[in-house]
Amino acid sequence: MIFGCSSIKKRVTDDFKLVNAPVRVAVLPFDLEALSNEDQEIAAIFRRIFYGHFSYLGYIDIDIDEIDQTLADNMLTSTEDIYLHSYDYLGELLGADALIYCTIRKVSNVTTGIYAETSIEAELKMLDANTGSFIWEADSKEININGILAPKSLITMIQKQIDNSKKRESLIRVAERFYKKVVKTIPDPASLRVKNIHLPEIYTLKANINNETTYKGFILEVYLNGEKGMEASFDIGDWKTNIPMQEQSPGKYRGYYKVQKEDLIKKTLIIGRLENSNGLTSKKIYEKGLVEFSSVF
Amino acid sequence: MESIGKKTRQISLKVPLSFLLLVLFACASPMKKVQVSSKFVSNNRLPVLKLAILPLNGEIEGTEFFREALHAALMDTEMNISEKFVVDGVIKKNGWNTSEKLFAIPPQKLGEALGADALLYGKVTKWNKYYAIIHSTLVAGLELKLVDARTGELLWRGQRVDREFEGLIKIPTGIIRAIADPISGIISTIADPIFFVSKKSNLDALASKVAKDITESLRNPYTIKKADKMDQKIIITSADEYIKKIEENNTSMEINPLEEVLIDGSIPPVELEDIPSLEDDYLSLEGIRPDFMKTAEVAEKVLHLSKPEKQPELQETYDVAPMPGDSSVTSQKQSSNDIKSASLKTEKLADKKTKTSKPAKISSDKKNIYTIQVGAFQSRNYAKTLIEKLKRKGYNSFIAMARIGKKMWYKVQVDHFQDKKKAVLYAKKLRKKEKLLYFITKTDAAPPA
Repeated sequence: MIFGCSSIKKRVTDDFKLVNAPVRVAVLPFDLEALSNEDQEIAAIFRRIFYGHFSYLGYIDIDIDEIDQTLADNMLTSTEDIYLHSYDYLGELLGADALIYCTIRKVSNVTTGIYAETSIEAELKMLDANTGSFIWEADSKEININGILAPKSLITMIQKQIDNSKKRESLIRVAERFYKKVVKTIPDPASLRVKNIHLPEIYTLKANINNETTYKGFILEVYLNGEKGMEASFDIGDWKTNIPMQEQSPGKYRGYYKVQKEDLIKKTLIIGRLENSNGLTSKKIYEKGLVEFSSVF
Repeated sequence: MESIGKKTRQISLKVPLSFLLLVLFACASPMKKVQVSSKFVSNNRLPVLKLAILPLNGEIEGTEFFREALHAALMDTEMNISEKFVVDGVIKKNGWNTSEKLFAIPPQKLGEALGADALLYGKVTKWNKYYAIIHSTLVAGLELKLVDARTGELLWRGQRVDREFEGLIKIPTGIIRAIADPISGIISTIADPIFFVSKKSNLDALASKVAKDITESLRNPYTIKKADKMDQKIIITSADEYIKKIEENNTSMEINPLEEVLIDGSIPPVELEDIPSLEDDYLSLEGIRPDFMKTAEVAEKVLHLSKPEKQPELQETYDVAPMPGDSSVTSQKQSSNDIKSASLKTEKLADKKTKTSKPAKISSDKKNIYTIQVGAFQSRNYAKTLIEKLKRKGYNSFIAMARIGKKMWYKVQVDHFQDKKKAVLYAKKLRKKEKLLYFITKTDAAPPA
């Protein structure tokens, strides 16, 4: 066991109510005060660790890669640039209701032979992207110590010293604990979201198939009737997926696939899919028949 | 601390246990086994799947720790992890509140309800704390199955049990520690095991470690060895039964799919820029056109029963109709600024040719005349809108009415052709220029004058 201590000072806005909790949240790139290339990499790793735990909460977390791509497309490549922009600009750019900022004040990894310390200090906050008001903030510190200060045997002490000398692994280990604890202080609207879950509705899914084998040239047509204005696609089992469908009139989607010479599948389901702008997906299986393609005509 | 106190009172029982543990676990290394479906991982990459992590089965405290840890670990994969509140919300809404209910549902139906391509089922196999004054052990174990929700195929499975020790029997440092402890204080030999089992974060950390280790092959598919590949395809029983049920309950195709899309109030599919193009051979394979198209054609023929059965054969009298604005054609056959209906031009050419060959006229009631159908509507107004748009662009388009079942359809067609190949060639150009979906169909209607 290593000797560790942590402290978290958290603050949640007084008027926070679960019903008003933001829906889409963007975790912005983390800022490190001392910026070497290695630090930048560490900040990116820390952000992914935080994101991994944050995504467990009842928010719709915008994919980190999507965030970075959007920021890069708008010439925002450094945290300095990003943090200089206003919350409403960033919110609009990323399609987020709230933004998470993190400034890492200190990252240390010291191994002296008789004393080893790994510590992280950071300040995090979630801001409303419309008003700029803070929703949650935390000032946190995590220290892991091994050596003469921790009651350890000599062998264990040496072993921990060696472990601690692997800076990257050691920091990741501490960061895992650190961010997990931090995320637990964020108000979680999951209970409310579980109650009011609403996925895009698919009313009907139809296709021009039954259980007969079809051959080269046959055009499989799929018709989906559901909520309007969404992205629709269909799968032919796991064989061909995300075949796009066009919304031909509000809520009426059509897609098709033309059987090719080499196509060969047996007893496969047709599955329609509807996705809203938040990435929430619903599916419907065509249960009136299975599709079979044969290359023999 | 109260629980620690209780445990301390049971010293007499725990001491023998600690020696048993020494024998059993002293040399234990984490048990890990992973198997992967051959098709799941290709070129060291996983397919991009929407994955729903289902609530785990087993000891409650363990399931919560593990589910969170798995979520965090799998966020680092190429898979798209469903929001936990979505999974829980759908499960609650459907009343699948016990593992028995949840696991009895075919994966396809679960995937449908959750909007997921794959499902992660899990069971906490070990979740124990052992404490015996001078020794303590934490044990955490997990079994996972990743199932394709579209096919019911088992894609990946893994199991792992991990232990962490603190105290005297910690091997190899434990025994040496017993000697070394006088240096750092014998107190820690007793204190460490107490804190070790009582500190919640140690269990949490162990769950994270197990979750990370067991999912290593999902996060880093290049670590999968050949020996980890499954020998055969495994389908979950309930998934197989579901497919059989669909097969047995099959009813013949129940719809005319046109009904689903081209209903009253729909927008004519005039410009569908992104719809992939039909390929040429489809047009020449009339025999295998979708049934609904055949049905429409049959229905239309019934409407025209009063027309003469036998029609004089038409001669191939005209070339491929030029497309409006098609310079390569118009430059040969018309002035470039005078865009008229394609049909009119072709008929003029036809007249010219027939005059010099046989004195046959283009009859108004010939069979084996082909046309290009670009839309079908139950609303006459929508059909008219499309016709007007096409006419503005110089196409010879018209409406053909057909009764299908109890409904009247207004079919928008472009031009007439005696030769199907020429209709195909014209249709190809039409598709390229106007991005219109179409098919070639026979018509008994007369080519307009």
